[in-house]
Amino acid sequence: MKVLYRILFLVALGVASGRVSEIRASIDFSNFHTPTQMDNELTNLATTHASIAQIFTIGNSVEGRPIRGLKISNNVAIDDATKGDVVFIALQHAREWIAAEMALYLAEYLVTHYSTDPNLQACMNNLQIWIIPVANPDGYVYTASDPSRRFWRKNRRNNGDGTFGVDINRNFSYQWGLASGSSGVTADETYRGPSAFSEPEAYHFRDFIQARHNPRFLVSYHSAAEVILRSWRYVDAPAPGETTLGFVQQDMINRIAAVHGQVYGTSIGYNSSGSTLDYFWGEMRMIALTPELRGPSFDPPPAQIIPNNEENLPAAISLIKDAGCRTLWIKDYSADTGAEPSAVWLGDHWSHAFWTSPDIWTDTDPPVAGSTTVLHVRVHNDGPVTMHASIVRAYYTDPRVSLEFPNPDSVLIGEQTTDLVLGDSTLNFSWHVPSGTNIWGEHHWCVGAVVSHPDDKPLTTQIQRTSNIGGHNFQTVDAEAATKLFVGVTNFLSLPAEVVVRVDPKSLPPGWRVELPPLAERRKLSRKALLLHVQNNVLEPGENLAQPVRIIIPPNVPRGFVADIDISGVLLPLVPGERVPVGNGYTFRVTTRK
Amino acid sequence: MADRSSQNRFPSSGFLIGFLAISILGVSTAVVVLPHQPATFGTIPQTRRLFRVEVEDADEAGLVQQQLKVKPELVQGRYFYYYGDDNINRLLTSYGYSPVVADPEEVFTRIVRIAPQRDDAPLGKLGAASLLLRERDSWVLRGTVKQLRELERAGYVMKEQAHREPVPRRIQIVLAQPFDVNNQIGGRVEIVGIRRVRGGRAITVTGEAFDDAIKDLRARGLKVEILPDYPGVVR
Repeated sequence: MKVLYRILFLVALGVASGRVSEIRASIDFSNFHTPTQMDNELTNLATTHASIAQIFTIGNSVEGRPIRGLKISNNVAIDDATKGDVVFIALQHAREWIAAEMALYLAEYLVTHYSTDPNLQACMNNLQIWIIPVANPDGYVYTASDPSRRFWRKNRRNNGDGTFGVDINRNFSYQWGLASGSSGVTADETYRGPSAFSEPEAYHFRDFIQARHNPRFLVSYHSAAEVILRSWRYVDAPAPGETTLGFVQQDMINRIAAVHGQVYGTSIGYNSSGSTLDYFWGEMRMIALTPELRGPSFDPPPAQIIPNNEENLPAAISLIKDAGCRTLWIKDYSADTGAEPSAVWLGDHWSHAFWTSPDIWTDTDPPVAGSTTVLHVRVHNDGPVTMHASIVRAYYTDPRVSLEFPNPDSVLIGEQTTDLVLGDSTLNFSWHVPSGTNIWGEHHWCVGAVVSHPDDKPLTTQIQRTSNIGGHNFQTVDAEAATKLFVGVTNFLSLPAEVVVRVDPKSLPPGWRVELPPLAERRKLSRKALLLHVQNNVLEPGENLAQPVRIIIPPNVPRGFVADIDISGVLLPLVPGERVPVGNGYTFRVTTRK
Repeated sequence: MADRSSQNRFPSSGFLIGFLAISILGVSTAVVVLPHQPATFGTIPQTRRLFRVEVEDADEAGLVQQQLKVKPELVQGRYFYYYGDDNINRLLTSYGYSPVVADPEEVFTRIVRIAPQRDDAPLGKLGAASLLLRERDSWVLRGTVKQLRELERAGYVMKEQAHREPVPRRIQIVLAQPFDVNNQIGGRVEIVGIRRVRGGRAITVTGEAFDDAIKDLRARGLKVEILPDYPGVVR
């Protein structure tokens, strides 16, 4: 009788709320869902876990269907700027149904395990998790509408010439239009569209990510090559941060193989331009990965769905834990608590001098040019366990306000694989300090340390955006006030970028001033710079700039007075949409003439 | 001279007088089709003027759209095509662009079907329209409006695609060199999978492509095998 009452209550609840789909304890993955079922399952997850899950929509498709997703967060009703944002997307290609099944499976796992797995819950509490199982709803509906349409790939844009469809994963702007793996022919499966971001499925997604406060990573599920893809996709060349990207990629492969023995590859063997992955890594340094799920082909037997989902789940959970829980970390400045990001660009300066890590120091301070010193790197392990076989790498490089670790020019001081116990561990590296000057003619170096473990991976190369990386400047010889100083910038982005260099006035002693005189030779601004009304210098990809610095000291300052002056900056890429700042800073130690 | 007997298997729409609703890149409008204009593959509206400017890349095209509110109809290579007027062109000129009038009939393409032919050589002689598919009951051509008009003048009877969309063929290619796949096969193949040939360096690429791309591949000396269509595909 009790059971009957409960059923009647549930039915009444369903009717009252206007829902017609049933509420089940768990989702059935024994067969592929139809588009309607997929929608209903997502709604059911939101309804049955309303305290942590909510439906969101990023916009409508080209045929007007909402592109829906499930947001999971412990304060789901608000957009919480203090949390990291992690994003899973699937089914950009309509025929890759198994990708949507994986995303739905992950969504269900997270909402049902939130209350039963305290470790996962702790990490999820620091995040907003956004899962979009169907990024191409029109294509999905089309493939399900008739067996002859099952292998449709693109969206359903009417190209106006008798053909339909644009490949959403070739419609992003980064290196859009190259012949490498995309086509300008409307009928082709890899048709890139009439212009970059011509498709609502692409530009809504770009806008959605750019509106996030603190994006950490993106996973875009596809099928059916059984590989894990990463940047670069548009060219056969290593991307900046190759070590970081490769580490995360290999960890995913290992976790997948550990479940059912399925060994995914690292390369698909060909390029694609205008891809989602390259856009987010190229413009935002947000790690983006594509697991190409199980085949064979795009219509694997339904019996493959569950093993496919099972083997891909641990890799996804691991990334969520990386982004949500801090285990291993290096301080970026004395008051750093390990929060990510540790500093934000406020338009004219960084909120904190994140290039002054107290966890990175040398025996001799300052280090002596041309000598060998011991470089110490302290790593904190917040637990709960010893992190066996952690890898700590230390690098040095010319100072740049555009720094990242590793960067293509950084020199490896050393690499150690070690067990990091709970609490603090200090590792020692022998560093032969350069005797000469850096590329700016100064005795000034940036040192960075990166700690990696399969259970705690850096997901970017930007110091301030991950607690796994720390940085510290070392000036081997004090600059005298009269010395000509330069602030160096190198454009590591593969895009032209505006350079913004600023002095932190708080670091100046009373009465001191620092001037950044305009550069003598300013080239004619490009049309991109004109369109954006850029007022600062612009660097082309790979180009260096040395900005002179003039320090003006009041006459009453005694000789031998020492001041540490913070100068920082960012690169702002010359792109449409949100121009995400990428940057760094450093501290000049200036001594008045003795 | 094309073989007229096979060309005329489709009923010709003849000379149509009246209003014909057409769609060009998703923009619908109504135009008067004059008697001398065949309307079987549509025409381009002349109510708006098409221009082009040169841009560096997709980002610059995006900036023109975002900052100047000029919507691209097509970005092809370094050309940014847009429908404009004097005001828009003055604005673009103030940013250093040099707008040039473009002929929409030489820019935008259409896909049509014609009756199957004995061979494609006459088509090639008449213009650069590409032959996407040689199906049993029809051939699928892609060309600019100007190219297709040339073919129509030569007597080919054309029929619009309607709801029958061209489906690429499944193909398999063996490449002796297991690297630089994109360059070896060009940009017109959707690569579905690559696997190593057992006991050798060669690789097998499976993918999807239309007949003109397949012809190019074969012209490069590659052996292209046509695989059975996916289940359910109707040609």
